[in-house]
This record gives sequence, structure tokens and C-alpha cells, in this order.
Amino acid sequence: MDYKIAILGNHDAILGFRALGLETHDIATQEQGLEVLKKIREAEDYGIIFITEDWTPKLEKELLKLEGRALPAIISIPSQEGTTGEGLKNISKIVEQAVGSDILSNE
Amino acid sequence: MILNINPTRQELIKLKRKQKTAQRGHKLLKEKRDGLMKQFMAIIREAKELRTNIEEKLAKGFESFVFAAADMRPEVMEEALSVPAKKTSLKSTTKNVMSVDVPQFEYKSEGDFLCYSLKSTSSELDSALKNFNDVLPDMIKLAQIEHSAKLLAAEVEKTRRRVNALEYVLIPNNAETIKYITAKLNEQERGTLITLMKVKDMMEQQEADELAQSAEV
Repeated sequence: MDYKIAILGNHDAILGFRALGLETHDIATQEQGLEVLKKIREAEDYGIIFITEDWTPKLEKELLKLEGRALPAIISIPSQEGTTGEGLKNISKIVEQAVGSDILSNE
Repeated sequence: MILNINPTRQELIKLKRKQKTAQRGHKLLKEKRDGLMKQFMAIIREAKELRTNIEEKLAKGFESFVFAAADMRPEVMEEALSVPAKKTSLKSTTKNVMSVDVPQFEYKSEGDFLCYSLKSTSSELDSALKNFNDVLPDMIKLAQIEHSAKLLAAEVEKTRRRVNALEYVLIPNNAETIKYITAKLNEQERGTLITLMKVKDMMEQQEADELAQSAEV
């Protein structure tokens, strides 16, 4: 089965990915973002969802509902303003969950 | 803690059977936990490396994209990118790693990302898109690895909890109860034996008395 790749974020940030054939969803407000995620959750044919880091904390409510599923994979990427460290923090969180403490942090 | 069950032989047999299953389950789960951990450690390092790498590249891509956007009128930009010539398709299969379904992505793209007139757009846009285009396969790989790590971590946590519950609660409780029931049953047996011996003594005494009486007569 073919899956879609979606990318969520500010209009200016994600416009470039449209040329690469990804499905872009502009978000301007929190409500809009939650709406888009809800649609994605119900459609069930998305394989990967990229979200720019500045939006992930604001959309957490819907993202939690998508957690634990085999698909889609939700990946945060840095926005045009550069990385906030959210993604690496997320990896540390995963390690902590599995191991009990973040053993990769001081490498 | 001693479980609240009747100290009978039947319960003891049941409990012993349960204990055996619990120990077997504990052993298996421990092995599963170790296996998951091994898989997890193998991919998490890769995920971290890949992410650092991608964040760097994307930052560069975004930077040149912002420059391109500043160079062109928004409508022109919108128009240039509105009909992408490049088609991407993503196929996904799931791989079963220690009873966790992790996705395996297969990514295919067709066509070129240059879908706009070169005359009306800035050259900055080309390089920005090229940057994005170069990072995209890595991003998809990251999606696969990071998501797998996330799923594995959840499973590791669950398995560890089960192992601990078996190791520190269920199995000791059962063992204690088994010990208690065995002791109680032994005690009961000794009690019965003593009673029997006592009864036998009394009967013998009685018989002897009767014999003595008849001899007297």
C-alpha cells in the first residue's frame, strides 16, 4: 500500500517541500493544526508526518493520540529559525524511557 | 506476603503449578527484555547521529530557502511551487522485532523537482530545493529509525515492568504461600499421627484392663 508523507508547519517554512512531492499543510493557528492532525488520524493513510519544531509543543494534545501506533511516524524537524533542540530532547526522552536514565547524553 | 487461600492439598498443587508457569514466564520475559534492549541500543545511537546530521543540513536548506523567498514576490513563489513535477511515493511494510511491529519505509521518487520557470525565479531557490532534495531520503530514514526506537522503548518499558512484577511480587508471594501451606499440612499430619498413637495407647490400655479383670474372675 502506498502511504502519503505530510509536512506540517508555517507556510513559509514548508513551501519548499511541496516541490519535492510531499503533502504540505500550512498551519497558522493552534486550532488549525489540531484540525489537520485529526484529519490525518482519521484518514490512516499517512506514513510519515514531519512537523516543524516550533509547532510540536502546541499540538501535543493530538500527537499523544497518535503515539504508540505503528504508523504514522511523527518526526519533528527544525524550522526555518533553526533548531530548538526539541528533537534531540525527544531522543533523550526515548532513551530514558527504555533504559531508565539518559546514557547517551554525555557522549 | 502470604496469599489468602485455604491451606489444602488441592490448593497447594494448584499453586505449585502456577509457580512453575510464573517462573517460566519470568525467564522468557527476561530474555525478551534483553533482546529488545539490544535492538534498541543498536538503533538509538544511529538515530541520534542521523538527527544531528539532518538538523544541520535542514538548517542550511531553510536558510537558502528564506533568502530565495526574500528575493521573489510571494505570488511568484507560490505559482512556481504550486504544481510539483516530482512525485514521491512511500511504501511501508512492518517488520516484527520481538513482537513489536516496526515500520520499514521504502521511498521512491519520480521526476525532477525543477518544476518552474527558471526565468522568473531566483537561483537561490534552486539550491534551496536541491538541499531539501538531498536531505529527504535521510529524513525518511530518520523517520523509520526514530519511530522504531520510540515503539521499542515503549515495549521495553512494558516488558521491564512485567519482569519486575513477576520477580519481586508474584513469585516471592507464591513461594511464601507454598511454604506456609506445606508447613501447615505437615503440622496437621503430625497432629493426626499423635492423636492416632494416643488412641492406640488408650485402646491397648483398655484391652489390658479387660484381660486383667477376666483373669481375676
